[in-house]
Amino acid sequence: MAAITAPYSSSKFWSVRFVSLIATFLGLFAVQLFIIPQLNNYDIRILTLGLFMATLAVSLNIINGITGQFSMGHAAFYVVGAYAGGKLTADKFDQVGLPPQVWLLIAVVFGAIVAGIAGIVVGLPSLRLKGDYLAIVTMGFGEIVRIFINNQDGGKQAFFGLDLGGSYQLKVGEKITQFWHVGLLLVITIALSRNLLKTIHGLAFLSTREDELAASAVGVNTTRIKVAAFVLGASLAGAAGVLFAHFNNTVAPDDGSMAQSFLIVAMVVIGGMGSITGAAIAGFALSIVPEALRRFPPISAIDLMGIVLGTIIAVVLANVIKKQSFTSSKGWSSVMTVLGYVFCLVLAFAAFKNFQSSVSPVIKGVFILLALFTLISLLFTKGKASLPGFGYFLLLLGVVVAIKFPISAVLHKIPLIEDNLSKTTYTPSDLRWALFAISLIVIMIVRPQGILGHHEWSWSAFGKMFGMNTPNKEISAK
Amino acid sequence: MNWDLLPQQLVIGIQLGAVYALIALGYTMVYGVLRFINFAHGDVYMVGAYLAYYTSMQWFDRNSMNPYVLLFVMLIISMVGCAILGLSVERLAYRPLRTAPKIAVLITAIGVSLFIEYGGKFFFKTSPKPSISQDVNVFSKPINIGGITLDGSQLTVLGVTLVLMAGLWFFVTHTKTGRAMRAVSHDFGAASLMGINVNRVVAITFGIGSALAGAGGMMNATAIGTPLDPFYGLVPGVKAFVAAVLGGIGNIPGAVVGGLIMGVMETLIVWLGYGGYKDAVAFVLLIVILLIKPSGLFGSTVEKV
Repeated sequence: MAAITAPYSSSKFWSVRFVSLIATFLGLFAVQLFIIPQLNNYDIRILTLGLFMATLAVSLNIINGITGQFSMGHAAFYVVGAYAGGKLTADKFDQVGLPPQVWLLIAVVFGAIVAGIAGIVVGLPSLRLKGDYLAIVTMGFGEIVRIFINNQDGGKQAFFGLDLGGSYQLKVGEKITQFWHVGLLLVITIALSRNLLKTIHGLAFLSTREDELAASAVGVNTTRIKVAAFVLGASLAGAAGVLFAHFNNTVAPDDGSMAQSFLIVAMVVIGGMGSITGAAIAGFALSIVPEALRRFPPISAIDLMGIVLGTIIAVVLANVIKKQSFTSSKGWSSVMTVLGYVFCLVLAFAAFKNFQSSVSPVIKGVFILLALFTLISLLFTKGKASLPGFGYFLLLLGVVVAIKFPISAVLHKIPLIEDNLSKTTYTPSDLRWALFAISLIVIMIVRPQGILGHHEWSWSAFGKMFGMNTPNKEISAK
Repeated sequence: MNWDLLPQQLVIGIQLGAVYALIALGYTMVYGVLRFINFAHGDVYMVGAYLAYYTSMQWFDRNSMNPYVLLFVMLIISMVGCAILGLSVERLAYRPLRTAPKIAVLITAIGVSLFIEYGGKFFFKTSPKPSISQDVNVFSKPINIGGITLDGSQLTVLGVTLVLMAGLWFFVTHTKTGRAMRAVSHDFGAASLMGINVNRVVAITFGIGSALAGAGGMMNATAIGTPLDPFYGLVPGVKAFVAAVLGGIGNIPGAVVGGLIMGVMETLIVWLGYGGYKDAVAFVLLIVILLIKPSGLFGSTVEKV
C-alpha cells in the first residue's frame, strides 16, 4: 500500500477548489439555459435520471467505499427524503407562497435532515455488525421503510393516521426540479466526498476502512466516523430524493425497493469501491446505457441460443489456448497487440457510426464519452500492456460470431426447436436486466475490485496507452 | 382479535413455517460451508415452484393420474431441477470466486439472483400464474380435529417436510459425505489438508440445499397457493435467511425451529389485524436478534459478527 498523502491545507488549494466550484455552477446554468431547451422530453428525462443515479452512487460510496461499511439499503434513504420533501410540498407549498426555487431549497434541506436522522438509526447497528450481517440489516431496514410507507394511507393500519398515499403513490403537485438542480447536487456530492479525502477527517474515514482496530489504537473515534459516514451518505441521498419527488411529481414506495438498492450497490462496486469518479460514471452509465438497447431490432430465439452456445464454446476454447506454450511467445503477443489496436479502432468506429445515425445527438455523444471512459479505465492500471488482452478479446468475439451461424443453422434443422422457437423473438431492451446480471457476474470474476479499484480516473491513463509516461498528478486515496 | 381462530392460525403458521424451514436449510448449509449468503437461493425456490406448476398443468395429465403419484412426480422434478440449477450456479459463478474478497462474492450472488429472475421472465413470462392448490389436491374433504380444520395440503406439507428433514439429518450425521461436510464447515482449510475434496463437498452442499428449496417451492405452489411470478422467491428467500439467523446460522435444527417461529409469527401478525406489516416483522426480528444474541437461538460460535 502506498503511503497516504498528506492532507492539503494550503489556502491556495481551497481557493482553487472554490473557483472551480463556481465555474461548475455557471457551466451547469449555461447548460440549462442553452442546451436543455434543444432536447426533447425523453432525452432530458434520461439524462436527469442518470444524474440522480450518479448522485446516489457517489453518496453510497461515502459509506461503502470510503468508510468500508456495507450498506445495501441506500434507496431507503432516497425515498425517505423523497417522501419527507414531497409531503412538505404537498401540504404547505400553497399556503406559504414562496418562489418555487427557494421553496425547493427548503424542501431539500428538510428532506436531507430527515434522511440524515434515518442514517443515524441505521448507522447505530453498524457499530456492532460487519460485512454480510451489516449488509442484510441495512437491506432489512430498506424493506421496513418500504413496508412502512406502503401502510401509511391514512387508514386503520397507519401510524397516527399518517397519509403518504399508501401503496399507490404520493402526489407532490409541483414540478420544480430542473436538470441543473440535479447536476448541482451531483457536483456538491462529488466535491464533498473528494474534499473529505483531502482533510484529516478523510484520513480517519480511510483508516476505519483499512483497519478498524489500528485506527482506534491511534486515536480515531471509529464509532463517530461510521455514524458520520452513514449520516453524510444518507442526507445526500435524501436530498436527491427530494429533487426526484419534485422532478417526477409523484413518489411510490417501490422507488425504494430492494432492486433499486441492489442497483446502487452494483454501481459503486462496478465503478470501484472507494473511487468517486468510478461511482459517478458507473452510476450515470448504468442508467443510460440500457436505453441504447431500445434502438436495436428484435433478435430471434434461435439466434440468441446460437450466441449463447458460441460464447460457451469460445470461453472453453480460450481456456484451452491459454494453456498452450505458444501464447507466451513474443510473436503471439505482438499479433495480439496489433489486434488490440484494431479493437480500439473498431470501438471508435462503432461509436462514430452510432453518432451518425438519426436519434438524439446528445445521447449519442454521451455514449461516445462512456465508451471512451470504459476504454481508458480498462487501460488505467496496465496502460499499453493491456492491449494484448483487448486483442485476445477481439479474437474470441470473432470466434463467437463465426460459430454462431453454423450453430443457428443446425438448430433450425432440429424439428423440436424449429417448431417451438422459430417464431419467438426477444427485444434486446427486454433482455437488459439479464445482460446487466451477466456483466455484473463477469466483472466480479474478472475484476473483483471494480473497474477503477481504489483509483480515481484521470487523463494520464490515456497517454499511457500511446506509450507516454506522464506523471500521475492525481492524488490517490491509497 | 378472535380467539377462536387462534388454533387454526397456528396450524397455518406452522405450514408456512415448514416451507421457510426448507429454504432456510439451504442458506444455513451453504453459510456453514462457505461463509457467504447465497442471495440466489430464493430464486432457486421460485424455479422449483414453476417446475411444479408446469409438471402438474402442462407436462402431465393431472386428471387421469393418481394425485399421490402426481405429487410425488412434482416433488421429484422440482428437487432434481433445482439441484441441477444450484450445481451449475455454484460451478459457473461461485467457484471462480473461491479466493476473491467477500464483497465480490456477495455482488456475484446478487447478479445471479437478478439473472435467474429476469431469465425467468423469459421462460415463464411476466404475467403471474394462478395458484394450483385447487387443481392438485389429495383429499377431497378436509379433516376436522377438535375445531381445527386440516386439509390434505397442510398434511402433505408437514409430512414431506418431516421426511426430508429426517433424511437430511441422517445424511449429515450418519454418512461419510455428511461427515466431510461437517468437517469442511468446521474448518475449510484443515479439511482440505486432511484429503477431503472440498470442491466436491461444496457442490454437494449446494445441490442438497437447492433441492430442498425446490421442494419448498413445490409445496408452496401446491399447498399455500400464492400466484407465481418470477420475483416470487425474493421475499420468502430473505425471510428464510432471517429464520436461519434466528436459529443460529450453520445449525441445521436451528434453521427448522427458526423457520417455524417465523411462519407462526407472520400469521399471528395477520391475526392481530396488522396484515400490512407482516413482511416487516422478519426484518425487525432480524435486527433485534443480531443486536441481542448474534449467535442465534442454537448457535454456539460468535465468530461472524
